[in-house]
Amino acid sequence: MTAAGQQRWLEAEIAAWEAEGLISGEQARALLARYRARRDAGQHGRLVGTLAVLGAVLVGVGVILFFAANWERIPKFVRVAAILAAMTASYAGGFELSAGRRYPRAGRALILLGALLFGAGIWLIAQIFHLEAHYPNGLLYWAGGALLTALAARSTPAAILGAVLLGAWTLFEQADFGRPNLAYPALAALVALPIAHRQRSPVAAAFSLAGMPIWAAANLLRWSPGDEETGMLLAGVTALCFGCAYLALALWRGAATASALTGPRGAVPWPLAGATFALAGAYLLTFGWRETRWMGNVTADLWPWLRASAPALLLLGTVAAIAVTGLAVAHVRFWRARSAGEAHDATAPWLAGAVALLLLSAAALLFPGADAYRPIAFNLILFLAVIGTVAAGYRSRAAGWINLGLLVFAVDVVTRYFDLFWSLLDRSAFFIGAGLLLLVAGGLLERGRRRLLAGLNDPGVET
Amino acid sequence: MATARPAPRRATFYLAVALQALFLLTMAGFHLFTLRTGERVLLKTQPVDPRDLFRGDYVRLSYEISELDAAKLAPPGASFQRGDAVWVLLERGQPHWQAVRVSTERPVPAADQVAVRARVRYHHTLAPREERPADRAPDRPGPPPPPRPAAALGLAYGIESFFVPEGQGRALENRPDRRINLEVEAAVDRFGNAAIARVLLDGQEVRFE
Repeated sequence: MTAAGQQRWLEAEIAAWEAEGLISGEQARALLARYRARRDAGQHGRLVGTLAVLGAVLVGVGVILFFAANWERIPKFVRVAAILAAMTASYAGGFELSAGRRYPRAGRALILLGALLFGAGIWLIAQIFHLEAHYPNGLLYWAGGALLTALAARSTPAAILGAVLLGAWTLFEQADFGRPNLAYPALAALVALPIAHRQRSPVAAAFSLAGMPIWAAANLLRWSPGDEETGMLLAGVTALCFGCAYLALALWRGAATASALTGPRGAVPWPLAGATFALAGAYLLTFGWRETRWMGNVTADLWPWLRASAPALLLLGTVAAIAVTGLAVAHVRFWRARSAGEAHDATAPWLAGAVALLLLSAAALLFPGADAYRPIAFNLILFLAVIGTVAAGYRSRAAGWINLGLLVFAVDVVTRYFDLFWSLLDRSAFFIGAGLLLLVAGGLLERGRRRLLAGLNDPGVET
Repeated sequence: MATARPAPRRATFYLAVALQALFLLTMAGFHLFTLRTGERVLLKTQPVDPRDLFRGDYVRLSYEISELDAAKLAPPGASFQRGDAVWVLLERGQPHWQAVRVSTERPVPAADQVAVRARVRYHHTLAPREERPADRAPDRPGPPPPPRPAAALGLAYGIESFFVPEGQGRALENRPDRRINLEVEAAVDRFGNAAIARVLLDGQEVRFE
């Protein structure tokens, strides 16, 4: 009930008490006067507070406009001082507000503003002094400041900002300057990801997890022979390898415990990121390029280059080795836990098997002569992977997996409908066969879902 | 039940803020030092399209000293690679400062001389050739450019970018010249670092408001 509502209720009650003889008329008047005075004081306080906030906003906007209008006239050192003052005030205000625990959200917002002002400061100082610098370095320094703030202030928004800026840094280094930027994966894996893990921020982690395969694919594409088909093949293989590596790392970390797929709340989303990139990679490898390269020479062009390119082999080989190692460790842990009778995730061996199959497929289908079979094989693999993803999501009660599987399924259906890789008849046969299979699978899932709902309130069921 | 996150430590937080402030101060401080303590040198730029100046963002500036004849100015047998750090000795001229020597070792400047740091962008050895009419860009009226030197050494001094606020520079918008000649007054400190102090048009400082 609002204060006004409380006042009206109290006045009605006082009137009722007087009518019932519980209090005298004089007492009723004294009570009414007391609470009306308190109400007026409260309203006055709120009015003052509102006016103060509005006044502060107007002053702030006015100060900004003043600086903007007179920026070129203001001496350089005053401009620098203004930038420093704004950044420091934002940081200090944010820390004190959040430390006082009365306005934590406002405090966190001000800390993020401070991190943004640090970046603004870098660019403004560069403009003030006409600094000629390699501009992606500005993004790197800004990312450094944001990640430092994330560490020191335990700020999740700053961690996200830092991860985004690191990604932007490598994007400009690679796209605009053609540099391989080997420092990016090290910074993403050793700085940004641990900070994201500490902050328990899947969003911050997701930017780093997505950034690494994109970084790798961009380098491979730049090093490769460079037409559209080989580029797509390389991008698909890269995404597939990274997806498998992330899934293997997830299994490595959680194979002997329950919920290897979902993981603890807020943790780095290795499994979901892995599934996303594995499915994306498989999707990119489903195309047949009927008009330009049917029965053609995509892998015949690619394989000689790949054999001769030490950096490319090293990059893909390292990622594949991480995936294989992770799978091996996960398998050993799973079988040990099972032998010892400890709790284990029964999904793990199935997932590990799927990952191994994907890796082997990618390796096999890079060889010359595989072009004729690759689209067919990967269409089938993608279809099975989508079903597996949705099934794994149901089994582990992971909504993200279910949504991912359904999204990829929808994209694949639309793509295959318009894909000229197959003849119309072949496409219709595929859709009918796949549809029947899904109907059967759906029926089985529905039975399982009803059983799951029936056991939902069982305290023994782990959530 | 989720555990409460530990509160950030005050000292650690303010140390992080101080480091960021120190970074910005260092960025600005180096250039403020150069501007305050450096010797002022007047440099002639290569012609600039005035449209670049009011388009906003950075304008690329190129100077007479941006490309030197290494055969004349460098020590005999000197070789330069892209990315090499070199020293250029500038001598006061009337009115513009000219390059009189380039070397990898730091020179000792005499009176009316300053030594400025530069980085090699390219080093070409060319056979001299006469300019052909077709080589001249159609929108470049005026006298033909000087012939390329026999050993062209392209240098960057760190003063090749000039920031113009977007939409400003109207003073230059209605000039009839297709290209304009700017002069740049740069400051060169005792460590050889250069910074743009003023940009001049017809001897007057160009102000953007």
